[in-house]
Amino acid sequence: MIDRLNIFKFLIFALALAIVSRLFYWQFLSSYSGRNVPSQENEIQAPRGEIYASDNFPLVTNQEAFLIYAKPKEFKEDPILIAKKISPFLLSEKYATNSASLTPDEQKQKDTEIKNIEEDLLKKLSNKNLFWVQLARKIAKDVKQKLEAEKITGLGFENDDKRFYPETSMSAQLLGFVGSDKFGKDIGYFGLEGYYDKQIRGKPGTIGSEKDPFGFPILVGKYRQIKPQKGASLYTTIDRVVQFIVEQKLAAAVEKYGAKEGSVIVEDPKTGHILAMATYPNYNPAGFSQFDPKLFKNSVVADTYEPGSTFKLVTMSAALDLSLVGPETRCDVCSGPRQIGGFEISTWNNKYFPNSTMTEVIQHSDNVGMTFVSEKLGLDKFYSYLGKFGLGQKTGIDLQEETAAPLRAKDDWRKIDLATASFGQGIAITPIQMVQAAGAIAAGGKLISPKVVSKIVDNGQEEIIRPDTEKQIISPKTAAQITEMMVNAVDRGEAQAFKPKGYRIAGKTGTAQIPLAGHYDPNKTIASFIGFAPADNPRLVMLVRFTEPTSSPFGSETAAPTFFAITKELFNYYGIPQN
Amino acid sequence: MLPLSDFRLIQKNRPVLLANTDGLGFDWNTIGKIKIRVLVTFSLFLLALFATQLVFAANLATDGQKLAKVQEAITKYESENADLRAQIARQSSLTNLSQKAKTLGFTASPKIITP
Repeated sequence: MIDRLNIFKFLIFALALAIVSRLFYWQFLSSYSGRNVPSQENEIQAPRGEIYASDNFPLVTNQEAFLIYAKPKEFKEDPILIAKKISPFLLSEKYATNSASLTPDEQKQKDTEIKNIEEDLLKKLSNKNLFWVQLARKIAKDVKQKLEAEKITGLGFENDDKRFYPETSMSAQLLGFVGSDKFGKDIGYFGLEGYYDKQIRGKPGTIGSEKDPFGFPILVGKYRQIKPQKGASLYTTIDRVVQFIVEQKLAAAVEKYGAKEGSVIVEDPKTGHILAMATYPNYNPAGFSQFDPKLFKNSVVADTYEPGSTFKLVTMSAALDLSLVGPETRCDVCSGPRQIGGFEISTWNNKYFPNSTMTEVIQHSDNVGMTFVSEKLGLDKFYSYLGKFGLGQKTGIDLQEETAAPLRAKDDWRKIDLATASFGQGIAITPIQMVQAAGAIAAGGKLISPKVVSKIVDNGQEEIIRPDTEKQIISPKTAAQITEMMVNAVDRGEAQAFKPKGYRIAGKTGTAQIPLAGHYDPNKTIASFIGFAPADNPRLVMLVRFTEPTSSPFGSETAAPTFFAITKELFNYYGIPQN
Repeated sequence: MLPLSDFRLIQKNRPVLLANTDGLGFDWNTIGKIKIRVLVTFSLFLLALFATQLVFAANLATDGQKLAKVQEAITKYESENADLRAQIARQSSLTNLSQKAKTLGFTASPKIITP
């Protein structure tokens, strides 16, 4: 009797001790040691802010995508088999179409790519020392679903949102793209993505929780979440329709004139808002890695060029503003070529117009006439007006890769440099600087720095973006005079045949030879046309520029027709009536 | 105050009150019964505590499951929402619309039309 009682006592005591010990362990020990209870502190990716056109249509938004990883130690199948299964799903987008629509060459390239991916995967999957290995990033949802259907043990997915471009390659150089930094985090490169990266990347959140053996969160445990903060959204001044028209016309023109590259900038001269900005050839930012990196840079803000005759507007504006010349002032050196500093200055077509007025100098795009103007100005005044027109410094446009295109120090200028710079040779500027300068003439002499973003919306708070500079650089009278000269150049100049009838358009052609190893290549030019319309109440200022057109080297035969073709479409779009 | 004789009398009567005593005078049966009652009560108390904890744990597990389901649903709807937004944007993009217009035979007007 006593034995049984003792055994019973012992059992009860042992059970009680076991329960108490276990409870004590769960309540105290395990929470301190952190062992055995699955506890995780994970970063939650912050959605990147969107980029909108002026009509609030998304130019860039986010799309759900996934990172694929593998845990080689958990594989139940042969890694060779797994690599074979996965590789066809990780093909680049250009091969994602039906095999039947591929040419034999493309099919061959596709097979090679599959083989390369397979080899790469096999290397990663065969390494049993790895606990976790990343296989691919930014994989589309449908691909993830297909891979899940394969039911491969040891394969996992994590959210890894990617950028989506509804208009595909539209405004590619302007927008930039999102790649990875050295830590694998998303980062914006070039254009708006690069310039506003800090604002639009957002702040990642964290989630920390203890989980039960089934993986569900334990609510009384350490469950804490810091929500990710979405990045700011950018509302641009880009008019989607204008951008579309510009890109269509530009692509056609580059093909037609056999140019190496073409670019167009359209700006509202009253606000400095960029309405369209395009370069062709361009690339698709969604698959940037498949394109030549040379295409990534936005050449209209990053590259310098010699503007040629379009620059005559700046020189003439300076001389008019200082009343050194007037529209009817006659050139007394225009009867033939001139010798300056040991160099001969001639006109582009070797035609000379003795005693021509300043209006005619612009109309004929007379280089000799411009040397007359530059002599009236002198280096100090000319240099001072270059600064006033914003040359030699950044315009402040909100694009990452803008360059200042610094001017040569004044002391380094020789007499010939002043003469050639007066007609846009021997001086390098960026296309956006040229647009800013022409915009000042269109805006009655007020220089307004260009901007692409009009407002930033961050967490419901709006920040309006205003131009960095807004200052009167030439008098309204000077602006009106130079405008009339430009209108005359369009009406009576080389490109008059292409001009839409019944409109007053101010413009100027430019053909600049490209400097190459200390001399100018006569066969390689940059052809351009800059202008604004309608001349009396400008809605837009536009620069069209072609690098090395082969059908004709002249701006009047390549850039000017493109300018007028775009203008015609824009008159329709804006509903601008004839005079 | 009690007389000393009374105390002695009680001592004398003790074996009468406690039956089945051992040589030391303890009644083990009575003590054993009390101990078992205490142990049973304590065990029942522990079992009740254990059962209570199980109920709480079960409830928490259910709540955890519910939370996981809610979070899953939020993620799913957010994902569907993003997908739909992307589809709308793709369908209404100018690139797509112009392609459709071309397919339907629309062409741009060669003339400038103003209101």
